[in-house]
Amino acid sequence: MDVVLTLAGNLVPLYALIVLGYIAGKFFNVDRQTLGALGIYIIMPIVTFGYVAQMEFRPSYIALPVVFYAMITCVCFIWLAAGKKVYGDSRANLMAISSASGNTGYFGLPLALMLLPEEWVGVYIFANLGALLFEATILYYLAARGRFSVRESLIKLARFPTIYAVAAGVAYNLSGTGMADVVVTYWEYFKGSYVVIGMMIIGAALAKVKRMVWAPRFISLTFAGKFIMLPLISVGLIMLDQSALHLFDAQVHKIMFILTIVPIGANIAAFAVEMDLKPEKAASTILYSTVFALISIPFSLYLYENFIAITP
Amino acid sequence: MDVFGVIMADLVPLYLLIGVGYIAGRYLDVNLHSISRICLYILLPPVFLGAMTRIDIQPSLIVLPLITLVSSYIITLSALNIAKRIWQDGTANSIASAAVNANAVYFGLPIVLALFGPHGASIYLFMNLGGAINNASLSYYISARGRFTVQQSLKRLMKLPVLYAVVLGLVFNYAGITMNPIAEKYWDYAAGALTILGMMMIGISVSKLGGLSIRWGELGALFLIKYVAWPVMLGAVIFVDVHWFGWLNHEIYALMIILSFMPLFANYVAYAAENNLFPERAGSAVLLSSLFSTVAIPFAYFLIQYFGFN
Repeated sequence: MDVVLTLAGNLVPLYALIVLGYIAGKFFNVDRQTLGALGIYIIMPIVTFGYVAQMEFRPSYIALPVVFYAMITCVCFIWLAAGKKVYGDSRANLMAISSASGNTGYFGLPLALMLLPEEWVGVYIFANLGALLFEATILYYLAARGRFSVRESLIKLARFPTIYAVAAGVAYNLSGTGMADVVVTYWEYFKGSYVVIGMMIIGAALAKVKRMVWAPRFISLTFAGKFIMLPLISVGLIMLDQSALHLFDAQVHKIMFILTIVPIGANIAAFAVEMDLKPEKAASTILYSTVFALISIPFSLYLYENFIAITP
Repeated sequence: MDVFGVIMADLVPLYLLIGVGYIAGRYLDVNLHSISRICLYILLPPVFLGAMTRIDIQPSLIVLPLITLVSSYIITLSALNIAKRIWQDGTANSIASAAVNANAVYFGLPIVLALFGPHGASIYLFMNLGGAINNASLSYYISARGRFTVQQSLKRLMKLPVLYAVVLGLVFNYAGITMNPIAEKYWDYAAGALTILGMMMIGISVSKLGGLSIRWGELGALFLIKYVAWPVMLGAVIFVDVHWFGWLNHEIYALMIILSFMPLFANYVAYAAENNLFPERAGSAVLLSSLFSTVAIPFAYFLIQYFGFN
């Protein structure tokens, strides 16, 4: 139990930043658009580039975003089918995308920073490309209610600055040029900005929730997909690799696990607005899942470290 | 010469950040007000608080902010009186309110961290408290040109979050509470974010202006106060201490010299815009003085070495 509490204690600063973002959005009139633009177009690409440029790149890592993509797509469609049985209306779509998509960026990256050795964070970022792919294809497909075209999906994908940052990072990495000390120093400053601004973006987004909706059945079904099914699929694959395939390192296993235990992604709120899919319900569920993660993350990690992870 | 390389290498990214800020303000529609609020209310307090827990408190240290506060008041008031004889429009107010307010934290912190380490940086921040108080009180009052009463300006000063952070940090320090490794890590994050956002603010504020304009007389006056009067003032303090009091030490002298050569503060543009005091001229003055740091900061370090304070 002590381990769980220590882990929860480590999460407290991150949650404090979310609360500060909430306060900033609610009372200091801090513009969410400003934070978002800085995060997406400036801070995230620079941080991404630095990590990918410094990671130890192996060709086998190309499989990681694909595996991650397959995992969340799988959860998404199973939950969509289940939701259609239970609800029979568009709530099924909302439930499916909420279960599948996680806040692997603003929430997940600081978490990965906390849990992984520095040189593995680049692998996390690389694997997380699967989430971008998911957003540009499945999420968009469900949001557009079937009016899907490959071309528009590709355009959507091409709009993520992170894609270019990863590509540039890989190119730089393969070129074998090192990074100068002063570049690393300022890149560290950007890393600090990422953690601070990213968490505040989550908080500022939550501050926008005008009316909290409490829907027990919807929440429990969504949480079952998000916090039970998705991690279980990931654990299943990890165990498969541990016992039979032996393709990846223990750290890679941990990365795949971290990717599946974060709360619901904040972008779901925007999608819900776009899809005309009960935006308040979506926003409330995101808030609940973020709070719930404060307990579920330490607990999941505890279970993972003690029963799944094989330490050499 | 190695240290000069370090200084130069640290300056280049700071200029790049001004450029990034310009792009962000121009093309991403980033809002200056939001960024400055985040810096002022969210990032600065914990950075100051953490820094205060790192200082070895000696009674003599407590005088540091007082020294910088009194010196900056003297310079600000003299500048206002002299400038009023030359300029009859708001220019005098503009010059006096800006001249001693240095970009000591956003610009200075990364340089001081690189040269003096975390402990030196903590003393530096503490010393800068005087400047921060001046910036929020007298300078603000002068810049507003009678739009606010003294009382209103004092009220504003009491809202300065950094003041409370410093007091709380000193209480923690006295009680023996220090930062654990997690707090240290988040202190680093916050200090990093402060430099990134603070430097970008210069670029963002310039991007919101219609253009830049330079009045050489005004610029000359600003530089004269900033780079001659202010360093001479703090130099006099050091001289007096070396010869008579002996309260301070070499590290503090060195930090004081560095502090006195920091460029103009980005807030100048915001104040100028808020009070209709020629923001275009303020923008170019801030940009030029930031560029002038490629000369001023190495010169400051040369002085430190020359007097053997390093």
